[in-house]
Amino acid sequence: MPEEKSRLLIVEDDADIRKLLKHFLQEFVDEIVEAEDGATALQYIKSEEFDTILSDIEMPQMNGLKLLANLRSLGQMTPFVVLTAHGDHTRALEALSLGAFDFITKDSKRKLVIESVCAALKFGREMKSSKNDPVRSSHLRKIYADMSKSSEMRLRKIIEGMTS
Amino acid sequence: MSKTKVEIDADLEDLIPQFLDNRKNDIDALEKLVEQKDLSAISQLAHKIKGAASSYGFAELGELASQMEIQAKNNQSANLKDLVKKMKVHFHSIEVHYVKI
Repeated sequence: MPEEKSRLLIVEDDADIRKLLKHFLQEFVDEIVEAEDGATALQYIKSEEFDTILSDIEMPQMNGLKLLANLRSLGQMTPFVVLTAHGDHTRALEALSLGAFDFITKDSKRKLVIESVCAALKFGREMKSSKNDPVRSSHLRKIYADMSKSSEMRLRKIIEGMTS
Repeated sequence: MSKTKVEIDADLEDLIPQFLDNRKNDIDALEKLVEQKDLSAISQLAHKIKGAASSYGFAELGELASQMEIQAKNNQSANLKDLVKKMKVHFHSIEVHYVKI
């Protein structure tokens, strides 16, 4: 059976940033779908499957935190990477406590963006392929929670460093 | 006018002209909003400029936008005129140098 295409959903209200992210990531993923706000992204999520969602937090219509909460209430465990403006760490912390996989600040270098999103994509594909295996699925959910926790600890260290 | 050299990843060369055009329009719009003292719109647009500028590697532009966003959010309108002027001067002084990163 041919392998399914990898799919990434980018949710960001600024067209220039979407263009930049697409430019960074297009060679690492088969298909990139773009949404300019949370409400549009939610429509896509309801009807299509993605391996990772890379989303801004501050957006009109529906912000990234509400989108993440909606995604989880639909029972979807798609890895969710939040994109935050520099210095907006409190919101990123909130996203991680809601179950985001990782966070990237908008001033991150290309390498870091690629590493974070590729790790999430790999995990998302593994989760998708284990859907019918409850033991493996539950194991992956635990790993997801650990990875999210480790992202949270990394962020807390950054915040501590900024305040001290 | 003295130039401000900004080093940008050569890989982004094709994207930069459009990025700069859009920021020029944003700064013009921001200037109008400052005249109108529309603090909520100033905060939103400054936030947008901050995100885009820092993503593309224009740190100083992002920092000036960040200062404007904070001041507008805190209802401090006294320095906004000076800040937008500073932003405009900085923006027009930018000289992009493409480097292999």
